[in-house]
Amino acid sequence: MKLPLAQSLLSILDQLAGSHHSELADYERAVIWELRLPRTILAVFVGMLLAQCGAVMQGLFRNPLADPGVIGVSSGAAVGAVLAIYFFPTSMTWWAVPVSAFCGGFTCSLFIYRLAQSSHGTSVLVLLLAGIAISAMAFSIIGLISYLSDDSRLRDLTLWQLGSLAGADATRVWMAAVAAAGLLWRFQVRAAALNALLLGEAEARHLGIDVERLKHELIILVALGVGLAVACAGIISFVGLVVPHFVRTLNGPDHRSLLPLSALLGGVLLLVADVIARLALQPAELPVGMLTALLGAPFFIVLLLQIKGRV
Amino acid sequence: MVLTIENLSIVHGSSFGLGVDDWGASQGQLHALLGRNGAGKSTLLKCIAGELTYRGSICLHDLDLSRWDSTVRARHLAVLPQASQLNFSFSAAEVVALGATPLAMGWRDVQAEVRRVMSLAQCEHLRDAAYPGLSGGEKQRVHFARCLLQLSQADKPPLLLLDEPTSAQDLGQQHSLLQQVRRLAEEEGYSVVAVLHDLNQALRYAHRATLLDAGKVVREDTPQLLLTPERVQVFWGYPAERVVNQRGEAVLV
Repeated sequence: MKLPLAQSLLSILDQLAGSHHSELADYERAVIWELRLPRTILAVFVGMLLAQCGAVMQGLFRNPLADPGVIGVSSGAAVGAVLAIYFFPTSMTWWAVPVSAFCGGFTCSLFIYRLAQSSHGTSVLVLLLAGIAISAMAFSIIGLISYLSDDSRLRDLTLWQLGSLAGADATRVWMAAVAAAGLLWRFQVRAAALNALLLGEAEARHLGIDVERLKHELIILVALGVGLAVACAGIISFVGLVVPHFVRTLNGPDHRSLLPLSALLGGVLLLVADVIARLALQPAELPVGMLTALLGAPFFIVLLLQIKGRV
Repeated sequence: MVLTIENLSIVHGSSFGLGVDDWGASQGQLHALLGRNGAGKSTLLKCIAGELTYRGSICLHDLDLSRWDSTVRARHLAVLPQASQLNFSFSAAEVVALGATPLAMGWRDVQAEVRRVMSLAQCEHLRDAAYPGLSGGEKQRVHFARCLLQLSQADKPPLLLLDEPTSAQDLGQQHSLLQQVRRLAEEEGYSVVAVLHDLNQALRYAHRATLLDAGKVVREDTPQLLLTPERVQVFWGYPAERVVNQRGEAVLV
């Protein structure tokens, strides 16, 4: 459905101010309030979550290729989400899916971190292989659950799996908003410490940082952010990779500015991607996760080639 | 004493790692740790830096290292690593500024201090260079500057640990760095403990030298008294000769 931008904005203004400037019909207003606006806002917050978490994860792993999607954290969160959709009644999924996605993402983050850690940072090879293994395992579990599901559950699962922002509603918007703002604040508090961590764990400790506590806090927060993003919008990969990389190229790797700028750009990027996904193949709709993967994967390969000598 | 070590021991698995009964470093002096590879020099340094778990006590200004508040300790104890892995393209000045992590300092003050310590460490010209592109020696000097910034707000004489600080430097840089370190010790009261491989550097710049072998302290003395040709023969297996150069300094050849 086409709604003129000016009229849409007027309609939002009407709703907020109680005025009557907009000439839209009631059903058109409903489309704006029930579908378009929540979707737009959700896209921004999910983009913020993914880009921030990507940037923090790259700092934590001391490796610019660590994207929650690529290394399997998102897959872990997806398994959590799918298990919740399968085991909980539909009335409880609004909280069960995010909580379970967080648990899945957290378990994977911890596992990958332990696996890939060495005194020289983390090995790209181990990270990527761990990502492949975890994703393969995750998809087989998701497949198994789909196979076991009855018709109505299967419908829920398929809808969610498409990785789209179309399911936006007030609950998801609020959850994503609170998480994005909370993470923005907490990451900013830890940004200087994260900078020091880039020097290496021993060096960060010499600079007076409680490294273990910092790592644990960041892993939990990243799992929270990724888990929520996955619960709200399915797996959307490469936003967490492309955005921080772009900001680093323009503005340097200092986390104090990298994190807020990544959040900002991540929000904008996912919003634009979602608009393209919605309009490109009208009347059909591309899942936005598919679009970001389509654009992000070649970028990732270029990045990999650039650092090939150092892997 | 700035640093006092008592009954320090480390056991690596089943093998004996390090055993130091009584050792210390005093204010205003450069202490060289000497010995062949595997003698325990770096292990001792890592213990003091808090990177290894050990039995015994290591005190900084008479307070056990584990009982210092980590931020306050960082203002009094800095470690210059041999090499540092940093995959992100910070500029050299930004790496130096990381030394301000434990300090309470505004952005402007940090910038001024960065300029000062970079000129002390003779790497001012690298300010805007990307760190990953620097040579090993340049990186070492950038980290040296970072350590100087880290210790700039110490209210008691600070302790600086150097792990082979000259390993990646060319000849001129090696001497200018050690001169700088000696000046910090003599003029600003730093206590410095440095692992050195070049015995002539120890002879020339260190106030005190400690010879380690098989994880034990063999002897602690002035480098001139410690580094006799006989000891060099016994502990390094090299038939050295000691000559006096035109400046009147003892040199091992």
